[in-house]
Amino acid sequence: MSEQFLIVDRVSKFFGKFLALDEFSCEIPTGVTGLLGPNGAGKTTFIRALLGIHPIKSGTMQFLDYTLPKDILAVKDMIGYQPEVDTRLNKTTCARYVTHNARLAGLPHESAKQRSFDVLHYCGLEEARYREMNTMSQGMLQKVKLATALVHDPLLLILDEPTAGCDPESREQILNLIFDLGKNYGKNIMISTHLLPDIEKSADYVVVMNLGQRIMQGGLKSILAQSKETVQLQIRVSGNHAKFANALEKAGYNVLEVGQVEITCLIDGKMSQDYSEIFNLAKQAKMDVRMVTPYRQSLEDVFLEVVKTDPGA
Amino acid sequence: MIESTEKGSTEFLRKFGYRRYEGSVTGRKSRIFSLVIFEVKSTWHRSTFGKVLLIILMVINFITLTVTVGSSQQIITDLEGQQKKVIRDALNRFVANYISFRGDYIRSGTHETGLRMNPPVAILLIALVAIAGSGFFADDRAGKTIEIWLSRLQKREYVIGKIAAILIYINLFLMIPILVVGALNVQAIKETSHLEQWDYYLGIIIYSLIASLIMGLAILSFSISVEKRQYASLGFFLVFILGTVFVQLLIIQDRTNEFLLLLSPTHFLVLLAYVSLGDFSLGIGDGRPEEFLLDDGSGLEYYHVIGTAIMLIISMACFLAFKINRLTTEEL
Repeated sequence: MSEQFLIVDRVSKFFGKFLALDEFSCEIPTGVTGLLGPNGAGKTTFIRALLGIHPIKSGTMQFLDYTLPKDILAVKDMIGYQPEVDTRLNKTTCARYVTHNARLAGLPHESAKQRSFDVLHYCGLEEARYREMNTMSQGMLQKVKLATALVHDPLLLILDEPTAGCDPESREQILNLIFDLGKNYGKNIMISTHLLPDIEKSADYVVVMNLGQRIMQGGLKSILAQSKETVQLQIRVSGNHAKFANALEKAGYNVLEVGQVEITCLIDGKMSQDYSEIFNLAKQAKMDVRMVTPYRQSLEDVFLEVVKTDPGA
Repeated sequence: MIESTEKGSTEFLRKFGYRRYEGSVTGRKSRIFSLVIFEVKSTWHRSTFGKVLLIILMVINFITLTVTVGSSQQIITDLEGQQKKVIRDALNRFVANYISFRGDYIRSGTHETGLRMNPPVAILLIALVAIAGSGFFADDRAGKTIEIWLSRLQKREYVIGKIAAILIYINLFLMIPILVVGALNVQAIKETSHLEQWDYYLGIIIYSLIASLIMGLAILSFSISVEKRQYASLGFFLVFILGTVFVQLLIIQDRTNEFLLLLSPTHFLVLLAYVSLGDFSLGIGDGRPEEFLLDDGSGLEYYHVIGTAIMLIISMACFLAFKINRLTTEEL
């Protein structure tokens, strides 16, 4: 994992008496980071605090050499933001909208027009650039938002639910764009989404938050590799499942379920790669082993587990 | 070669790729200026009705101009000896009544000038203001773009941009026509010169700026309070028209209370124009007007008008600040 370029230190934010960020701290490295959390966890509040939209009550954020909120103007120029909500301006073409955003980000007039043209092409909207935004589909609007966030070539892209409301094809295209930006162009990207498969596909690092606090952070691979002491194993054999389940139990395996299709049992986490004993048992029972698969823990499982075990939840 | 996470259309990625931006970046003021230009242009693009109104306004101003040139000869022949005062009164009346529904109800002096130069454009002007500013915040709310703008700009830059845009737009059809028609009026009257009337031009600029700020803040207040621009337009238009009619009815009931004039949007703007032009000797009433002095030490005085203008600006600015604060926090 690369160096940390955003360090959040005990940031608190109140809305009236409601505590939205409760001394939230995290470190975000370069690369693609997934920001996860259930509804009301404080993800959007954190993003808005980072952008200077919501002033924070206490704490600091260190973005490279800049300290927030003191250096917010310099940092704003380095961030491209794609909000969750559907943004559209009536009777305005997407080219005009993106160009205007480029101008607000400080690009000179001609450069803004050229840059708008470039990013709309990159996002696959080359033929729709003169189409009015109120006639666009959800998927197209998401791409316009991505183009808007990219138009000033920011150091950090913050994408809040970038595939929300998209059809499968648009979703795939947007994920490909994010993947491309992160892997091939070295863009730092922070993705906040409920769609955990999207994070699994594109993120290198994950921050999980709940009730305004960080409850987990780390590299995606290391989080997924944090296996439990025991591993679930799914076994499919050619003969009678009940008979083979008995053989497994006699051999000391903890059989959880005997189904018509497969047998589910628990084995020691350390033994999860060695299935020779299972094959021997099958041979003795004169059966063929058709499938032995350890149940792969998904990010969704990890997420549900940490949110469930979080004492604040 | 671009990698793809899964099977899917990545043709556009392969075709174009991502290009980095390595050009220059402008300063903060330039960005506010960009916002102003965008808002002014968007207002023009989005309202066909507004465009039609503006064209009608220009045509009426042109017709008025030709009538004025003809009637200016009338002053010279009829009012020997008082020409300069009468000319200035006539010029002041043009400015003050440009945005008045009641014609010469409040006039400069009590005499008849013989000069007919007021175009009947007040209702068009109010409609234009109502159309121009109604979408400034309402469109951003409806389109949910506030978060995007605020990710680029500071809150105060956003607000300054909006206020500057509405000032420019209103003055396009308030200050500029008044200055142009006013200057051509002066040109048409042989007995005076542009240099002699320098304070007239200064008065026009001061009046236009203050009046546009008050009307601009008012329409922005409506715009930020509702989600649809049509409601903001209608609200502003009705307050202006019904406010004027209601106060006029009160004035008919109680002619002695001069302060009632401050409650009527139209009458207040007329008084503000006369005060900006430094003209405190007025006449009031239809037909034969009564003397109405703004510096006689009793009743309504010029400083009441100035005080009301300041109070309106401050209170509407505070309301806008409060609403913008809510709009960018709880309502975001």
